[in-house]
Order: sequence, then structure tokens, then C-alpha cells
Amino acid sequence: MKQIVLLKAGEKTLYEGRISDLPYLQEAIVQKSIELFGDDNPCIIHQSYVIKEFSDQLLTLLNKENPLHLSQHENINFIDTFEEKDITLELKKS
Amino acid sequence: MKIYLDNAATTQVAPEVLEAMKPYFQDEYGNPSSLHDKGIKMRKLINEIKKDIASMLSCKPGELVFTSCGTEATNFALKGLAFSGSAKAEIITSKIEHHATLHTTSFLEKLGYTVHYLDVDEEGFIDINQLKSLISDDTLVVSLILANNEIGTIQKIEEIAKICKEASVYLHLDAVQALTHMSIDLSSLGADLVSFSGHKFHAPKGIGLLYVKEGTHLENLFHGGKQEYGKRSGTENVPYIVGFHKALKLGLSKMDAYRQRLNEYASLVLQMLDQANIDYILNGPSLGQNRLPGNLNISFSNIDGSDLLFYLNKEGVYVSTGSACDSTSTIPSHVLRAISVPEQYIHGSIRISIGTYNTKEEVIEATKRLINVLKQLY
Repeated sequence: MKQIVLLKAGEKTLYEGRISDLPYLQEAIVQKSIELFGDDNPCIIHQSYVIKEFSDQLLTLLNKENPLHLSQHENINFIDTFEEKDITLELKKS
Repeated sequence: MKIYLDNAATTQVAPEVLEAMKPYFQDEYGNPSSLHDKGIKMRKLINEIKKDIASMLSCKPGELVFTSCGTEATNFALKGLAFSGSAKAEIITSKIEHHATLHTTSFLEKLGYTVHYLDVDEEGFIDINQLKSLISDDTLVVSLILANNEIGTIQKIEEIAKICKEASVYLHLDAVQALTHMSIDLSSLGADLVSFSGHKFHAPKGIGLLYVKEGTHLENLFHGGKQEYGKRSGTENVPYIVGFHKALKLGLSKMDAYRQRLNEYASLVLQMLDQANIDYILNGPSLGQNRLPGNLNISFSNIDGSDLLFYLNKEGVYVSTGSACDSTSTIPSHVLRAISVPEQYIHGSIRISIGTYNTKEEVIEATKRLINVLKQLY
């Protein structure tokens, strides 16, 4: 998925790049893989499918609310926020 | 409406096939090797089925060996020859084979066999001159995919068979995608070994067939009760053999109309993409006699095929990216590499495989959804 996003903690940029390359938590990927595939040791294809699910979920939210304040979305718990506070995710318009 | 367009991966069991199989799970469950009424009845049934299949495919009943799947059939063909004690130590295959062949030849390479992988042209046809230059007194077998599972290329076998015959080299064909989708006459095909699989034509998964031409010596891979004329031990899977037979009869009886209808549907998909000004290329031969009916391997420029698959799935359209069997790796399919699909297209490939039960309305609707998804991704 090619959409470019900015992950920020306050004014500090934690990540800028493709939404599919966001720092997704490995344990969240495994958990989703178990939910979707019953696979607790997901291969690269299953991992990549899970990441598409996460990315799609984020894009759906970002199309309604941009930037997205992660503290207001408890279910968005699959991104590594590096223990920072005041996290936002912003979809960069092309 | 969910639309299944992945019939090259597998097909649904035909209702008539399921009905034909049902009695053999609970009522007629005898072991064909048992010498009592229940067993004898099953032995007679299997023998009659083999005679009927032999008649449909133009071969002898004793030349047919039921297996658990197409992959086992191909493993049996290649390993059976390799282990048969021949002094010949070379195998020729192509770069666009199914992994059932490629991983088997790779295994045989580890045992000391030299394997040559033929190049193919941009439509997937093997290089005949290269075959002529490589075939030698040391060649044990030429193994080729008759109809390619990804791009639908139907090889021109007549010339290949002639070359093999003149060189006294066995010819094995992987015809897993071919049966009931194109005419197969084993008496004139010129092959010594041919692999088939039931679930590609509305029989259940778990049943395959290997044609072994009379006089072809294969070393057994399975040892035991000497079923299948001593070629493949293991109690026969009677319900699935019944299902294979029924599906084959059904498929062959409808094949001409099926081919014509699927070619029309495939053509319709391409017309709709053209009308929508979608930038795509059709991988493999043009639609018609040299391509499996209903197979459309299409590449879109600067699109990730896995994204396309993901969103088509969300839209209820089920297709594949490249080969379904490539799902343990993210690299572009070896088949698309072999036919030199341009770099800006190769990552954006999907395989649509239309089947018996797809309607024109489904094909139109699926193509509309495909166009919508493409427009969102661009």
C-alpha cells in the first residue's frame, strides 16, 4: 500500500513513509495471524496479509479523521509508538 | 454477491459428483482387496471405472494408476523413473513448471542428476531448438507442463513428442490443468507418463491419476499390498475414484461448449478493461486454442498484485496472484520471470480463472469491481 503517512509524537516525527511499512508490533501481527489464519508462526505472506489488514483499518479511519489521534482509538494498539505520548498518525495528501 | 474466479487453484465438487460418491462412504465401504461380496463389488467397480476412463482417454486400463493428487502423480513419474536403475543421468524440464515438478527435479539434482531447464518465449512456449540441442543418449526424461497453471500456455506437444521418440527419451506431461479443459487423446499424444488431478475439474481434492504407458518401467514409491497392478500400494480410495470418474465424464461431455463460453467470458473481461482505459498486459498466449479457456493472467503497471488481491477479496472477488502455490514467498512468480514480464508490470499480476459455474453476469460484475479497485489504487 503506497499511501504515505506521518507518525508523530507531538511535533516529533517517529516515522514517515508508506503505511504498509509503519512500525507494526510483531506480537500484534502474530495475534492477528492467529485470529485470521490460526497461524501462530506466520510466514511472510501471512504477515504481509495481516499488515494489509492493519493498513486498511488505519486508512478507513484516516479518511474520516486526519490526523488520527491514537489515544482516542483504543483498538489501534498494533503500532509501535516507542513509548512516546500524544501520538498522531497523519495521511499525507498526494 | 461473492464471485469465485480462482478455478485454476481448485474447483467446487460438482453436485452430481457428490451424489455419485455418497454411497461409497457408508453403504458400499468394502475394501476392494477383500474376497467377500462387499469387497468384490468394489473391485469390480474400480475395474469398470478404469475401463471407462481408459476408453475416454484412449489408453489401456492397466496404464492408469490412481494417486492421492497430481503432485504425487508427478513425483511418482519422475522419481519412479529416476529410481528404476537406468544409467541415464540427465533430465530436461522447463523454467515454467509447477513446483510439483521443479521441487522434484531439484531433489533429484541433489541425488546427482543433471537437470536442464528450458527457456520459454514471451508466451511461455518452450525453445524447441534448445530441447533438440540438449537431448542426448544420457537424457532419461523430458518433463513438461502441458497447460501452464499460471499463464495458460498449451505447449505444442506433437513436435516435442517426436523429438523425444527419436531420441528414445521418456516424455512426462503435467496435465493437471488440462483434463476436461482441452482434448486429450493418450493414444496420439506421444507421452509416456501423464499426471492428472481431480480437483481441477470438479472432483474432490485428494485424488489424482498417473498414466503410465505400457512398457514404461517405474520403481514403486509406495510398497505394501500391491494395489494398482502392483504400482502403487495402499487401499484404493473408492469414493474419490468414483468422484474422479463422474467428474471426468461430466467435464468431457460439456467440454466444447465450456471452452467456447469461457473464451467468450475471458474476451469480455479484456474488452471491459480496454473500454476503461486500464493499462495492462495479458501474460501468455492470446485467447484461443493455445491457451487454457478462462485463464487470464493480467499484469497492471505500477500496482502491487497482493494489494489488488486484498481489495478484490474485500469486494468479494476471489482470484490469485501468480501461482497459488507461490504463497510462501513474495518474489514474483518464476513463470512471469521466465516469460520476461516487464519490471513495471511484474509485481502487479493477478490470475483470473473462470470456471464451469461462473455466469456472464458474474464475470461482468467482477470486472466492474476490478476496475473500481484499480482506479482506487492508482
